[in-house]
Amino acid sequence: MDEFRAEVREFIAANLPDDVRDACMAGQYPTQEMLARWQRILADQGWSAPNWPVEYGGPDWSTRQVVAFADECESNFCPPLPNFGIGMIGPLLMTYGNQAQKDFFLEKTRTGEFQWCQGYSEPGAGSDLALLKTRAVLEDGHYVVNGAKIWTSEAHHADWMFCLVRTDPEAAKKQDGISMLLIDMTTPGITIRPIIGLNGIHYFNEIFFDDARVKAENLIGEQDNGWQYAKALLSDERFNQARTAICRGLLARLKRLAAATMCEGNPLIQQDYFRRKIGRAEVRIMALEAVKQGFVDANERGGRLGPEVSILKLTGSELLKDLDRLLMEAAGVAGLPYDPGWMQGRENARTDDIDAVGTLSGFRHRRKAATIAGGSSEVQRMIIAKRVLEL
Amino acid sequence: MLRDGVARFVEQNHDFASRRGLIELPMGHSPELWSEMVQLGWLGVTLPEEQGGFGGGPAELAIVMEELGRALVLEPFLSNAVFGADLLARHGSDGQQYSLLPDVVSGQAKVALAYLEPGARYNPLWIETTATKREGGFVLNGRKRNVLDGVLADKLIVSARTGAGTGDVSGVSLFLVDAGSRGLESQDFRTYDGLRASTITLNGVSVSADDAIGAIGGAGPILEDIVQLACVATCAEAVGAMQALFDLLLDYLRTREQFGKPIGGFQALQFRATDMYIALQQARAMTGQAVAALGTANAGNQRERERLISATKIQVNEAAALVGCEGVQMHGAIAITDEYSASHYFKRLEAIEQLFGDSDYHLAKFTADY
Repeated sequence: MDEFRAEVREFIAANLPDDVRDACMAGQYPTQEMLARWQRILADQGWSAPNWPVEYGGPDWSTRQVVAFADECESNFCPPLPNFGIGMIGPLLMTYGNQAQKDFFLEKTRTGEFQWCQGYSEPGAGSDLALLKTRAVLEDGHYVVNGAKIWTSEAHHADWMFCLVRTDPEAAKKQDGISMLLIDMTTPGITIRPIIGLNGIHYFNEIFFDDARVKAENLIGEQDNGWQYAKALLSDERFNQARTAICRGLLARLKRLAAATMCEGNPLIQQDYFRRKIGRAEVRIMALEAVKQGFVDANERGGRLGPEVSILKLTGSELLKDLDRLLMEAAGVAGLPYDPGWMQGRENARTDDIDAVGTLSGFRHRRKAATIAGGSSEVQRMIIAKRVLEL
Repeated sequence: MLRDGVARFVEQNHDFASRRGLIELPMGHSPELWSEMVQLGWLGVTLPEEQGGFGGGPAELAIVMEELGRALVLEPFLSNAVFGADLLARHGSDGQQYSLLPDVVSGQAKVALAYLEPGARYNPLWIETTATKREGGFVLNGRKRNVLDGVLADKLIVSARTGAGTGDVSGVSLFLVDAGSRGLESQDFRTYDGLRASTITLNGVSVSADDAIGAIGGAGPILEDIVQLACVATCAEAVGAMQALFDLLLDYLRTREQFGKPIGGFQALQFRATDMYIALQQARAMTGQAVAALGTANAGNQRERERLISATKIQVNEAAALVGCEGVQMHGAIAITDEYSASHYFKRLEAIEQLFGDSDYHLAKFTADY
């Protein structure tokens, strides 16, 4: 594994463009152009879809290698790969998509030509997702879609949406009668309302469907069976929420910041009370890594991820949030200045001086969503209580 | 009566939509709203009537702050009522009381306090800025951080060292400095909670001896005192903000339905709401005691008062963290948007945790003589 990691590191050092690395190091959001450029570079190397098998253009890596690759990318200031496309819909299409869908979507998703968003939550269906009401009616070879989706991350940059719609409102169980459609975001009848996030940046959207006509061939699998496909994705998504590499990156940043922050003549990191806080955070990261390693090992032995993978989502997202808070605490009043323009790399925006503290709050406020999105901490606890502990 | 008046005024003249608009303005506040607040005489809330005030004290100040906190008002009230009017009325020279104080109370001159330094963390006495004597006055050199409302100020009150060592209470002087002084540079920032703060650099800024507030070398206790008052006032603001956020959450728990019932029907959320309620009651009660201690003419033991104020800030910080974080988490996605006020309350509460000392700073002070 050391050799593999060295190879990845070497590739990053030689190929990650300076401006992209600088933006990531400064704690800014990479622009869409930067994200696309980096995905293209990785695609040419065959690494842009680390979790994909070779027949679809992936590197056929083991789970261990996929995790190590993500680690190296994160700790060497690479921008993230698009999770909705690479992490989610790609593998879903490989399992449940038909040949025409695989041919049309997979390669362009791998290279970044197609960007995706996920149409799940609705104004009335959040934690209780199965309440979703967006209606799709089959008429002359098209599904006519009406309704609304909300909290749709990155929809304003997406070419396609994988979307859960209700095709049978009469079904006995609310989980039945749901289908999954792939929807071209340029379809007439779709409007996007931007939702500005806690950190002042446009990330979420509300999507309205008003008689949007979607070709019937863009149905995944069978009609009314969409909940099963969506559920199959969730375990992987929850596994991916244990962002150990990001946690390690934040810990390193915390140590740098605490060393650079003076506290009445001494660096903050030399204050006993603060060292212990950092220490506690590091122990929590180790615990997350240890549990995650257990899942990786089981997966390598051919086991499937069960509902207990919710542990990773729950502890991983809570830990991220607490690390962000600790960074803010270390920064003290130096962490107060914040400009959303700076966070997005606008040159005329300004921040204060030490270790990019001006973007700390932007990330803290962005990641407040981590314990809410993708199944809140409350939902994860419910899953563990019911499905793991059988209470 | 004062509380009703302030509450009614705020309700009629300021709402969440207007707050969102004001944050985007270059100065980050509403000159119209500010001038109405000034005309109502609020800046003199702690001043005796003969100095143009209400004849009130810390209790009245806390009432105004709590109501402003409830609505997250952006106006520079704390800077001007506490660092301006209250400080000058109690410690200003005759000349300052005659010429500057009436302008501050009437809103014609705005003030900001430049006291905190990059190396100080939260200690107001950790002053590396120097005031060097020269003919007729002093020359100031140094750097100040997080000067609240600095962008609006006509006059800055700058702490500087005229003697003794960096953290000593002796050897501290306070000077009134024109914001446009030669050698004074200001970098103005938006803060994440929608306010404005500046980093001020003083490069050989000249002041006259008449610009000193309090005695040269003897202003340390004045500075400590005014920061304590601001700290308690900010606790009151936090109590108002917490109450508003908690009310908003309760309403949501009662009306938002998932899994076939209002989410407030789930015991897991009921218990957490209960904990928030208790934290809020504790913060309010402690703030009330700190306000009362500040208002006592013969405050008795200085050290006891200092401990009570630190204890109050610690308790308020803990409550702010709990109510702020849970106020977002229990709402869910709606609260991580800029368009829903819970997010604004959360950010303000988190910023307040850092203002005038975080919990670890106050714990060190509180336990100093264990």
